Amino acid sequence: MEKRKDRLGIKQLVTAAADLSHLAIATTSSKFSSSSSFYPSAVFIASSNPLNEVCTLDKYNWFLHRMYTRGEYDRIQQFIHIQSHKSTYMTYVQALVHRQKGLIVEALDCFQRCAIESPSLINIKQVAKSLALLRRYRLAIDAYKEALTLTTNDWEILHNLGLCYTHLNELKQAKEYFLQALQVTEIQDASFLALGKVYLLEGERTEAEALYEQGVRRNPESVELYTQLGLVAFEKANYTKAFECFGTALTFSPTHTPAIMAACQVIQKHGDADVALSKYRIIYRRKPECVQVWNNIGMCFFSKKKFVAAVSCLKRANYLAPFELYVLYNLALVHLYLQQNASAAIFLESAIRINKRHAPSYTLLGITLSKLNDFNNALKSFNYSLKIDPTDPIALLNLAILEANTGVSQSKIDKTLKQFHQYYSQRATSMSQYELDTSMLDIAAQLESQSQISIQNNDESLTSTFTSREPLDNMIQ
Amino acid sequence: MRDIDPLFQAMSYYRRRKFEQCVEITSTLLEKNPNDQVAWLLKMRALTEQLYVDETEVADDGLADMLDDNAFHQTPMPGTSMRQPTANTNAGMSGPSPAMRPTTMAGRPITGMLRLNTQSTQGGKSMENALKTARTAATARPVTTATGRFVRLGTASMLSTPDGPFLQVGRLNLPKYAQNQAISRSLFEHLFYHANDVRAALQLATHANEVYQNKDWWWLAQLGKCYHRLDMIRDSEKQYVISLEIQPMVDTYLYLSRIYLRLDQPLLSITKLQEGLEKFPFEPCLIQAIARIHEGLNDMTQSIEYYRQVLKLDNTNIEAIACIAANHFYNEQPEISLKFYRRLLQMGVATSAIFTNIALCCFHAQQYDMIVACFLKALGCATSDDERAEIWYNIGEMALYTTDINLAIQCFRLALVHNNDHAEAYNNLGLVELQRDNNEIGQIYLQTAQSLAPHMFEPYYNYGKSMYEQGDLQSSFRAIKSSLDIYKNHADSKHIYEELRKMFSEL
Repeated sequence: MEKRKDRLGIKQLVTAAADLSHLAIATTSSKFSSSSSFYPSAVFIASSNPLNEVCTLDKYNWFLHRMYTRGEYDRIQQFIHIQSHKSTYMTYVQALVHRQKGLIVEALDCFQRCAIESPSLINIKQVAKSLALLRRYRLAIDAYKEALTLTTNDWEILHNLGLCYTHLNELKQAKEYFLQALQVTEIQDASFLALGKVYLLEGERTEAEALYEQGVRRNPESVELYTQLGLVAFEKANYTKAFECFGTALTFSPTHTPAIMAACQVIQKHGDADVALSKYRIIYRRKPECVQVWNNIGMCFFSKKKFVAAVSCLKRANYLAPFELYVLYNLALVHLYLQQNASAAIFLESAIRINKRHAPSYTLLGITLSKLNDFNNALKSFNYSLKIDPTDPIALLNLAILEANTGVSQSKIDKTLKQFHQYYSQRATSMSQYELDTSMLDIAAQLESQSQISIQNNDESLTSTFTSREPLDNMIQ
Repeated sequence: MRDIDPLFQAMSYYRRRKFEQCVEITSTLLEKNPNDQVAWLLKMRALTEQLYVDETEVADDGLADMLDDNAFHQTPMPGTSMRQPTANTNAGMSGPSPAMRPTTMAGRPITGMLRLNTQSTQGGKSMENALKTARTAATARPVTTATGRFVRLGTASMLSTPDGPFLQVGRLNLPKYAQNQAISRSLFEHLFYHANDVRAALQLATHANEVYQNKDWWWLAQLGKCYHRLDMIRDSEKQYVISLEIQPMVDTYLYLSRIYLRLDQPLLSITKLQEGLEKFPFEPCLIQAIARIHEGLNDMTQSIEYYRQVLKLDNTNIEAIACIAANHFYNEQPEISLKFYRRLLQMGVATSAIFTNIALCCFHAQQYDMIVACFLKALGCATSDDERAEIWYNIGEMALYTTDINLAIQCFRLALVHNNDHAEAYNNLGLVELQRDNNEIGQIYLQTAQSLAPHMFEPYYNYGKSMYEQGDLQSSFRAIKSSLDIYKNHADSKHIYEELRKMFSEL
């Protein structure tokens, strides 16, 4: 019904336009019943042929614009197709339509024609943008620089230049341009986000955080900026601040998936699995095939000691993304808890095949192997893990347990435990108390007092990556 | 010892379903005495039995059937048509999502059992779609209509009687035979199944109906069958309905349900079957038919419910067991699925597919010791190249889950050796190559997969995503759009699509 009305409106407009042309040129009064939407444009040609003046050519620009904003791309194409003489604006709109349909090469062609006909700022910018979309960043940069000669304080040009340089991995120039763009205007959160990303790529976390802070001050309603700020805080283990940021983001957009994911992450860290589960339900509605969600749901169940549910959730995550390291690692962890050591070992092998330098996998493999009574290989595995990351207290403690169980001399155990205490305290100062399991100290104390203990392992419940990092899907039979 | 009376022996052969010997003996009898009606009748029935097919399982619709406008509504209400099973196709919440359970060419979830009408683009979305479907060795709709199989049957009848046809159909005095109740029915079946002369059969049925004044349910049902075969759907429906009024029969209900399916009215079809169930409450065939229709409508829970009922009545029904097993498998319950497949194995269905399925179940249930043995058995049982391709593909899939990339590549290559049109293998090969950063090779594999299987969204999505990451937004946009066409609710595709749209519409 609405469509119908729309068309009627257009018809009236067309009639009005045709009437106008009649007045202007006073051709013979051709009667037209506006039965088809085509017909009036035929009248246009008839009337605009005699005089190809600028005023007649640009007369229908408003009409084209209106059609474009209404998304009537087919009609625009028909309209332009019928015209005998094409004005620059028509070519411009045609190019826009091409781009909307995803035909960038054609769009670039049209924009170039526009730029040749009238080298205005807009046209050059569009050419540059098309080039950038086609991955020809060098040419795009040249075009943007040409545009910069026409104006100096256009935020968009500077921002896009920065983006092009980011894609070319020339971060220094990119940073410069982003900073220039931010000098022009500070109300665009895109520049803040892009610059922050460059900082993060270069590993300058403090600068990135400061930048996000600044961005948030200028754009207090930007969901993305708040999410990013929260993530940076999260990485620094500043959970209260992170949670605040995610909370602010969610008040502005209650369904912003990355923010919900990140907030859940914080909740999960606090050990409040039920709340996290209810939040994950929201994301599941929107993204039923999201691996990260399934993984995190699985770990929620795990912390609630519902192992079967945990396994089936993690299995589903693995089914959807067989190349995701953390899913495999978590699966191994759960299976280890379930005393299914062989399965755990196989999952760990898979995990190690994905990333050969993932120290926690080796540690876990060591624990698994020692449970399977393969002490030699367990020892090798621990040693390998410590070679990759010598500062991991968990690996050290488990190594000590293994040594205690295989009857190694007490002095060697004490040496390992000394290292353990050293790195443990190091880590304890750098991280807040959530990260480390204090029960490790008790076990260490037991080991020191030479009391014979049963093999006990110490697992960290590791949760996964978040953000919108999508793995590729793959086919199952 | 004296010989047995040849006629008696022929009858005995007939009862023991040794039709060839039966035909031989009756032929000699007829040579001696061409007017021996008993021998003639027996030979006719033996010949018919050789070629008898169960008409309730009629073959796939041909491509030409897509052109017909028998479907009641061209734009049906959602949930009332095979063409558009649910309001939101591929609903992630209610039905199984294509990401979890692969689909057939028709865009339906794969069933547990290969049967007629599951492989083709049956009830496919549109003519264009059906024409676009790749013509690989094993796929898609036959181009010609139903005739393919029936012509083959016709020629088969030539084969079985090398010295010309048994009956000169044109010379039969049909009205005379119609009078004779003893002969007419056998003659009808012979004409219908063996001679494959539906027109003559229809004439005979019409004459017979005149004789019985439309009071005999059997002849009415046969009339319906003839009309059905001749694609006169509405006439056929009428005959079946009258026949059912006189005498409710299971077969007739099944025929009627097929008619309604042909008219694309699955719900009515179900209603009729349920009416049949009121009369025959313990008839597994009817329940099975209902289950199949629900499956076609993407309503898996209902479908499984009915399959369970079938199993209660007939606990050796292969189709029901297989479908339930498949459903459990795709619902993350490989252990239960394993039980059902074991049952199939115990029943003596030892095909390569069953062994492969058991191996897969074992893998997902982490009973690693069984896997290799099962796959070896499966490879041993495999009779065709297609089967071997599927088995190697599944082994590769398993290698993928243990992230043994080299083994996976080898397996997928082997699958392609056996079946060069294996789109899934191409897709996964592409994926693995992308994983190893061989972008170009990977993309080529994905493109091949796209052209081979336009019904899968994965190659499109993977291609689009890889292109998006490399910055070729134009190709990415196109691929993602195709992916969304196939699977509307794919969240990841939607995400990329939105991003691209945003980029394109910014001035």
